[in-house]
Amino acid sequence: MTKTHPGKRARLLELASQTKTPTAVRFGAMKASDVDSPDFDVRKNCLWTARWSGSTILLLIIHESSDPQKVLAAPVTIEPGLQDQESVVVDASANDLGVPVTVWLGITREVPIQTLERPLGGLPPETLETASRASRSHPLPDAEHAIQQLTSTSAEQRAEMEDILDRWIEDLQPLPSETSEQVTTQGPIQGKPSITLKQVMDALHVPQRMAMNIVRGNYQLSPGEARQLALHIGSSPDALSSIAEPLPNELLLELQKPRWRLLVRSEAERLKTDEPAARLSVAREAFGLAARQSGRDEDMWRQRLRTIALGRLSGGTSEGR
Amino acid sequence: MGDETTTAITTVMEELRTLESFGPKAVDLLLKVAREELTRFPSLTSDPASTHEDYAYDFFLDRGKALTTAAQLQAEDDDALGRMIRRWLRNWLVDLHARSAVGSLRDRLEKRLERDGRFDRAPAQHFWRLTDGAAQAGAADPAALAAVARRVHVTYYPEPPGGTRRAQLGRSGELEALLEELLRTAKGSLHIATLVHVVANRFPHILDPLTVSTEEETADEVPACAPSPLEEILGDEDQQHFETLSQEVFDALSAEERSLVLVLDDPKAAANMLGLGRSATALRIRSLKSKLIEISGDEMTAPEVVRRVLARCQGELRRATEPVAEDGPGLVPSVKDGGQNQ
Repeated sequence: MTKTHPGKRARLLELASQTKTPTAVRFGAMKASDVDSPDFDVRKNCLWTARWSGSTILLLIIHESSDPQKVLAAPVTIEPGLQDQESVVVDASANDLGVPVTVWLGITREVPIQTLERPLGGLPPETLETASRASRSHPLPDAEHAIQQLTSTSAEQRAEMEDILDRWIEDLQPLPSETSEQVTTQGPIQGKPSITLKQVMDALHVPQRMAMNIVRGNYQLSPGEARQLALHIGSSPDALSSIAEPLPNELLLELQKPRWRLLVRSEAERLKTDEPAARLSVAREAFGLAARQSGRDEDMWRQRLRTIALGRLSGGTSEGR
Repeated sequence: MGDETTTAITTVMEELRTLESFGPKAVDLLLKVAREELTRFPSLTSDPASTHEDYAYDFFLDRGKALTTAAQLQAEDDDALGRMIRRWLRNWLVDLHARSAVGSLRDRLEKRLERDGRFDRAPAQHFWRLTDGAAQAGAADPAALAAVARRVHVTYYPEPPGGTRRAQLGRSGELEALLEELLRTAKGSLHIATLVHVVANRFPHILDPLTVSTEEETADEVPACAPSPLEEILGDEDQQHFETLSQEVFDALSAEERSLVLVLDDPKAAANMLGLGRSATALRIRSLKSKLIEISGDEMTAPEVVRRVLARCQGELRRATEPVAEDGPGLVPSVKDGGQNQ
């Protein structure tokens, strides 16, 4: 094993210290105030980091999708030299990252919105069109180079991103109302008890999976269990029968948006569970929040979630808890 | 699902986020990765004047800004950062190697052109002409040139098992014959880069690290090491010879490759068969295609050889799936059903 040469290490360190990337840092960690940031609207021509199941890739939003849980997006890479015939390179001056990026238009997919994490700024309109015209007029940067690049590393990169996106798409659960036929014909949701995963787990000492089934209404509680749970949350056992009430789609859709991701993450950490379960728990909480029924559904859920998020994430106390 | 609750180490990532650049910890990680990765590229380490620190420095000079940006946006912990650095560095080294492999192929072709009386330099720099041909630049239609490259036979000797010798491209005179044909097709002179491009495309493995040598000096020793006289078979249309050749190709394929041949054009089926993701499958397909291109001979023989190889692979697949049915379940008590299926 060769020892590292101190002079050469110092030279590399010097070079590295001059290679700052403040633009990337600007898009750093998520914070509580993100819930009010317009940057977190999922819009066309915007770059995002997307993270799910331990993989992180960058995405460019191409268009909204007919499926409200998804958005049409193409993966983006920063490593130079990787591209295929359908990809276009967006110049450093035309994006907020300050380095050229490659947009893989050939693997545009309907990507679940729940994977989006941090917005990385937008591209000026027409950037893609200009970039694809430019790459068409110079099809191959360097013929010799292209032999190597097109056949190996680029193909592998492309295949890997396809794998990741496929996995993400498979991972997406349909909304409950799309799967179950049960339609509730009950009146206004006045005084409905709402139960979080944590409450069920604590009250009945059941594992999370079981608690989730109870919260989802997939499991019929015994009279004894219902009493125990009711006691724990200070409600009447009769009211608990309405647990089976499905959560409204508008609420579940709203919670899939990246704006609430930090809230869902912190809930997942608190409950030691995964994001989908944590999201359900937050949804139950928002559903149960005693709020005046007014405005469009979407706005209402957003307000309730905002109350929860600000209460929890800014470290202060909240009337919601 | 969303988040694994693992306790990932993030000391290097924290340094990166604080400094907004690679600090001592990240630099040491890069140097460690560089030292490890370079062991894969003997061609790059043969010169003792260039150490792993030098390669790491050149790499960072070239891609440091992009890497620092990507690392901050995509790496979640030190493991992910290490993987990212390794991959970026490896791609850069492969690229560097390819450039030098193309460079040495170019040197080699130029040397052959210089030595042989059939060729001469054209007035335009880097252009070569036939001594008895036109000097002005020829029509370099890539498709036509590629077709010629497939038609003219250049012996390819795959690396023998055990790796006693590197794969070998061309016996004496064969590369020259190919160059002559290319220039005749162009009806004029060609840029050396065009010739390099055509040859490299015909033999994609040339650009892979550690594969092909075009050294003439060793080429003459090859026949002794390579018992199958491929070139005698080629050019002979006799069915028996096709049969022999396809048998050789078939023998050169592993069991898995034989199944893969059948689904080569269907990545989805290939992925299912291998039980791998698309990325790993793409890698296997690429390497198998390269192998087939190289060992199936020239334009005349390749389609027929590949057709026969396919038939052999299909035959093998049938044999592998049929015996159960032929024996009949009643004759042999199966272990699986506890011998009850009499």
